[in-house]
Amino acid sequence: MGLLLVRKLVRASITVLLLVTAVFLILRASGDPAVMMLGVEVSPVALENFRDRWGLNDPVWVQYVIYLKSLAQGDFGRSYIGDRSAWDVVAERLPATLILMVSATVLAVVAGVLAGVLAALNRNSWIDRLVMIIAAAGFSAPNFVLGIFLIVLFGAIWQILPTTGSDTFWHGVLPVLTLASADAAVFARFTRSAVLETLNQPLMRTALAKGVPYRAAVLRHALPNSAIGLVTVFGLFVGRLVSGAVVTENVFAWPGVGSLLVLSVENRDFAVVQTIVILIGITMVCANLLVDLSYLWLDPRTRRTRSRT
Amino acid sequence: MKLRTTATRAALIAALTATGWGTLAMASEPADLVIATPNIPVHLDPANLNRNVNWRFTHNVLESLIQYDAETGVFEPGLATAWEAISPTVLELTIREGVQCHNGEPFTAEDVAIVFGSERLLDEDAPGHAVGKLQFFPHLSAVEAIDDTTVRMTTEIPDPLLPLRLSTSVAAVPCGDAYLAADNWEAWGASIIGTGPYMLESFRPGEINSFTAFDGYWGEKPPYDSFTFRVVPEVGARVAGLIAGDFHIITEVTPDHFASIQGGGAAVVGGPINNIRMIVYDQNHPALRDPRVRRAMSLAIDRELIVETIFQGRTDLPNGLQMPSFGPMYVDEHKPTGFDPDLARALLEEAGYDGEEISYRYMTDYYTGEVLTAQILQQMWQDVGLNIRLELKENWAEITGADAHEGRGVMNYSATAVYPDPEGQLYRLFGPRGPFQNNGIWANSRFNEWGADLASTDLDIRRAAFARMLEIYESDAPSTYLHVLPTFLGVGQALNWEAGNTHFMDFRATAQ
Repeated sequence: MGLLLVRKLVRASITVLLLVTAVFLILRASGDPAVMMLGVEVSPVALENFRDRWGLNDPVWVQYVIYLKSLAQGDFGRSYIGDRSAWDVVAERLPATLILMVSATVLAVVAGVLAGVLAALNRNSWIDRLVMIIAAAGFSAPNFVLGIFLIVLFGAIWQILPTTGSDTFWHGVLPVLTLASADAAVFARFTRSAVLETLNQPLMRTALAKGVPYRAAVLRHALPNSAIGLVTVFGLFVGRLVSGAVVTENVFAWPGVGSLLVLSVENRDFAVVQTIVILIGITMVCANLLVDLSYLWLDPRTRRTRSRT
Repeated sequence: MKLRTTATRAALIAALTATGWGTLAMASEPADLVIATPNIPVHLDPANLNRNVNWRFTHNVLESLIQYDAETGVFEPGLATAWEAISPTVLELTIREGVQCHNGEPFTAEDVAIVFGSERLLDEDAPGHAVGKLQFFPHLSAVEAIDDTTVRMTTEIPDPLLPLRLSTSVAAVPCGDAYLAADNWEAWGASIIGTGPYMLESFRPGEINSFTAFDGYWGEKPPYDSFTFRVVPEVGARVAGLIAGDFHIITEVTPDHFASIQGGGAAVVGGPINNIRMIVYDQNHPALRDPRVRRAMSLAIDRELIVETIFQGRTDLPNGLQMPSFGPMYVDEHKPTGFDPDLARALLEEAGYDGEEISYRYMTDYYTGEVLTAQILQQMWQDVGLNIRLELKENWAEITGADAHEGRGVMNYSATAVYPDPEGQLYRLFGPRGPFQNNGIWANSRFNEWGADLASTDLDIRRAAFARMLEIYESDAPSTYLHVLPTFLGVGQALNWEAGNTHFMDFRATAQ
């Protein structure tokens, strides 16, 4: 188990390093921060001065080595905007994004799993069809379309919720709904399939034959056995959540890391983009690590297989 | 904001739903303005960052030494109460007494000497040199504080435009002590200190810039307690927020949203401003080296059609790259390039254009209607036989970058008349100190020779020179104009505020 964990952590570190390297190179090949900061009407001399000041005239490999050295010392670099620590710039936006993502996760999982179970237990009924129609619609609608639709409906026409921003609890309702909708739909569809499959397995027949009430059999046997497939979906869900947050934060002017990423990419604020990418990479790697570990917990057969190999 | 669900409100909701858009929630004139906009500045230095988004706030926070009323053509005192040319090359200004900086320090002639002097503007390495010095103060050579209230500005040659130059946003005066105390230019731009009726409260690029009324202001108290620019990238979200009452003003409204805004009880204000939308041709592109090809591109554009279809006729066509606000310098008799597709085809044939692909770089509506304009232009050019590839770019570095594989070709741009004179527009941009000659995109020695005459103190000489420069601009075609740039804003029902004819959003008492 310990060796497995170490192996996975090493693999995860390499993944994050490759990610950072790729972003480091792509950013430098795709735009000049000097022009972004100083504008297009400045003289070449002024641009050169800016690049000199920020070490951008050094060969890329030199910049890369300096960056990795700083990173090893916990220094994520400095933002060109305001000459602030890149970590501080990102850290002050993190709470808003975490609130959005955690709320959306809870909503997507709870609503999706409940809807999926409901659909499975009422297979081929109108409830099943209704849940699947809503799930298909939720999955098909892009975040930015759904977001604008909700803003117009709840903000402009009915005027019962604020349109954008993050000042109060109510400002979070529409962004969370938008971010959670597509993934709730995915969870609903997967849960339905997984539960239906489990309901048809011998273990359910055995449980019912032993006199276990249907509801208890579903809760104690069907749902835990359906959970393994859902955990796999959850690993993918984190990735979708991150990309969804970028779009959702921009539509709702939510001041989180997603909207900061857009601003920083636009301005080629290298240090900030790289810090965000590292965070996203670590989040993805941790999520997948947790998924792998949860397999061991959920399915004893996996533990036995691992211990034999 | 509270959830607005009272019984009365619920009843209203049904009625509003039945009638379409709701109406604005606010009834009384707000004290704290919220303006939703797609972009806010990433740095607040007025001399170095000559950008539309920076101009929006400048004179609310940073004041100029001299003010200029473009409507009356009259100069008025600003931070300077008097100014006088004590020799042909020296302007002496008397600095207003009792003016306080936002950090409590007194504002004196020394502040003026610092921000216009070698450390910020005059030295080649100074942060303000690249734009502020080169484009706006090309003849300024020294600035000296004689005492607390007297400052002298010396120019290399007589510069009759100096008072006009001093009235621009670029010449707004931050406080010098704070400039010197900052760690570096980047940090200073995020915490700028001025003397205006509002002071910087919060600078969060990509999110909000907020400003609060400054209690120590020397002039008339401003009408609002604060104003905040909030970044809302989606125009649909801005319009919905205006109708819901979440915002008092929204910027970058496109004509297709006019009906929604007006239907929701808000107003659309704005129109043509002191800026001409243009496209710039890069002479380095093989197909664009021949001026006949560039001129053919200009002749293929039906500008009236663009104005009618995209802007519902709510903007003007310019008479060359000049503006009526130039007054006596406006060349009324100038013949602008019109729409003549037959002549365009003939010029292309004469130039031997063989269908080589030309890239056209634009962004997603940095300018109002930019995407639609690009698509229409491509079709118009295609109609005369030009092979144009649209290149949607992410930022200005990609628009102007010279190293892309497809070549620079044609770029979207605009020409602001930062002061009402050819030196504030055509010559500022296309002259030897402007960005296009500086970056090797275009050069014309005859244009520069005539441009030198703009430094004359004789109006007739200046006007004649400008007329010739306009002709060269049309024939050698470094760029072409499309229309006067309009900016449209949505304004909430409760707000009594009018847009001016510049990017500047004036929230001072004098604007009321």
